[in-house]
Amino acid sequence: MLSLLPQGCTRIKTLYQGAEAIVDLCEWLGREVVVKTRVSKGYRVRELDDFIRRSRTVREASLLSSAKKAGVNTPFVYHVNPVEGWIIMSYAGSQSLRSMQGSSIFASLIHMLGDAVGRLHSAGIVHGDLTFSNVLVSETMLTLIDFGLGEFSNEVEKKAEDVYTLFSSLTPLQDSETLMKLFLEGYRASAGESAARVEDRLREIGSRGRYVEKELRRRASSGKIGRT
Amino acid sequence: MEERLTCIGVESTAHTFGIGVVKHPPFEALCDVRRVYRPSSGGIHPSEAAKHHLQNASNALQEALSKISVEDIDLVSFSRGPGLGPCLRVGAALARMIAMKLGKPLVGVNHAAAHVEIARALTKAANPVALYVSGGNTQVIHPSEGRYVVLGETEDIAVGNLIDAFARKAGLGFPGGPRVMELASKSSRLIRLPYSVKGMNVSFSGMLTMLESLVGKEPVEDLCFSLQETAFSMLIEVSERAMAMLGLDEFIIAGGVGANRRLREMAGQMCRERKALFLDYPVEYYADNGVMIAWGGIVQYRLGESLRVEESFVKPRWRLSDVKSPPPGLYSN
Repeated sequence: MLSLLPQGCTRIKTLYQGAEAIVDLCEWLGREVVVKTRVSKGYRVRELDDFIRRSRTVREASLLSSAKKAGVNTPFVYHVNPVEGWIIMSYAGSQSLRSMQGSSIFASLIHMLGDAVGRLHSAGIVHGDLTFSNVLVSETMLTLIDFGLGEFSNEVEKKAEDVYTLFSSLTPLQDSETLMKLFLEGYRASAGESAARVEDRLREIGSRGRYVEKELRRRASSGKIGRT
Repeated sequence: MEERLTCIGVESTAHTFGIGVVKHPPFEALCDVRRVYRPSSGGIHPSEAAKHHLQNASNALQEALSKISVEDIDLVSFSRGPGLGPCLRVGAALARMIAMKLGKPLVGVNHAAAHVEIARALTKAANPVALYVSGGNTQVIHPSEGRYVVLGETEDIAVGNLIDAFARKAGLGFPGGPRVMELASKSSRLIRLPYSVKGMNVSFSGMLTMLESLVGKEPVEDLCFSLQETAFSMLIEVSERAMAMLGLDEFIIAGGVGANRRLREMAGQMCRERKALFLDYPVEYYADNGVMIAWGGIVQYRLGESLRVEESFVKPRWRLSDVKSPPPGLYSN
């Protein structure tokens, strides 16, 4: 499926096609840009569909800009059309943190990511989907992308969920414990006073899930993170 | 080809006391007896429901045995959880009694897994994403190799719980599903309700609070319509996200809320738009029944599961992710 592009955009290629949005690499006004279009869903009644696409587009654009103010690299937002559900933003390359696994600088990137997420959280921004593929790397600079599930919130719960999501990606790695420590070190330095509460909540989240048997619940809350 | 097995299964997790008999291969449902508890007021009272099951166990068994011959039974299964403890114990006791009397193996079946497996058997879905929606459960499940992966779920109440609780407040009786569906079809006016999707999880408690506060202030048809459109859009959205993430193109719905026409219509539409298949099956199998437990018994027995009577205690909070799943397609002929 191809999305209807904003006027003046020429598609170079489709970068990603998710359930909710299509992300195209395009040429626009002589430069390479990324166009994210939220597609209309026929299963939703029109009114609800319009509302969801509009509000999510506006929120995402605004999160991208606010993150920048908090000192975190994100794509530059060039143009937004809430009615048609698209955002035109700068292209931050294609190298994700996923492809950096096993590299000698991976650990220091995780430390930097801790710092970046700490900044977001202290500015009241929650990313909502902190996976490796949503962290792009160029040289030694990190760019956070896809704030589609993000929100403005100062709830400890939501911040802890952010970290929890990232830790789920780290868990299968060989040196996962060291990496988690490094992340939290970077996080503490920039997240400010709420860091400790987020870490407490992080341990608690691992012990949840409906119908978790009592024994597992005990084991999880005794410090081992990981949902059963 | 596997050995032919006939299993008698007992379902008693909540309001339905059911006895089903399934023969396989090929899959054949030989009998499907149901006794449904209807509370005189409010929702399900666990002890009253258990009493209902107890009072009906004997006549339901008699009816089932009038349709098959006892000598054909190779296997006895029961719904072991998750569900209401007092209700589960009635079904378990009956199953133990049959197993001991006949000297046949006893299998404990996970209720959620049974919903998913009956849907797979009836649709022949090879590798689907399943949306499991009932009065007590809301989960997006992938029956992957060897186990069930819960990709997303409700963070608070189940969608069926939302419908029932709203229906109770609006005076529509229990269960609320059929009445809400009927009234919703008479409206097309959307009232904006909290739409809460977080990744692949959903949350309904905010919507319930708002709906309850609007009862008596807005026409009940509009409330029903808005509830269905908003809640079901959330469910279809997370299901689609799961399909996109795993790159799968089959979708099934399991559980009682699947009986709702609008939900199945939206599922079909979502699948058409992404060139996937929504696999539907006869509506009576969406609700709780004994056939799915009998079938689940055969599936689990073939995976090597069976229970000694003395260890066959019920598990009211048995999590699906602790259950073995059969390999894709193997038992679905």
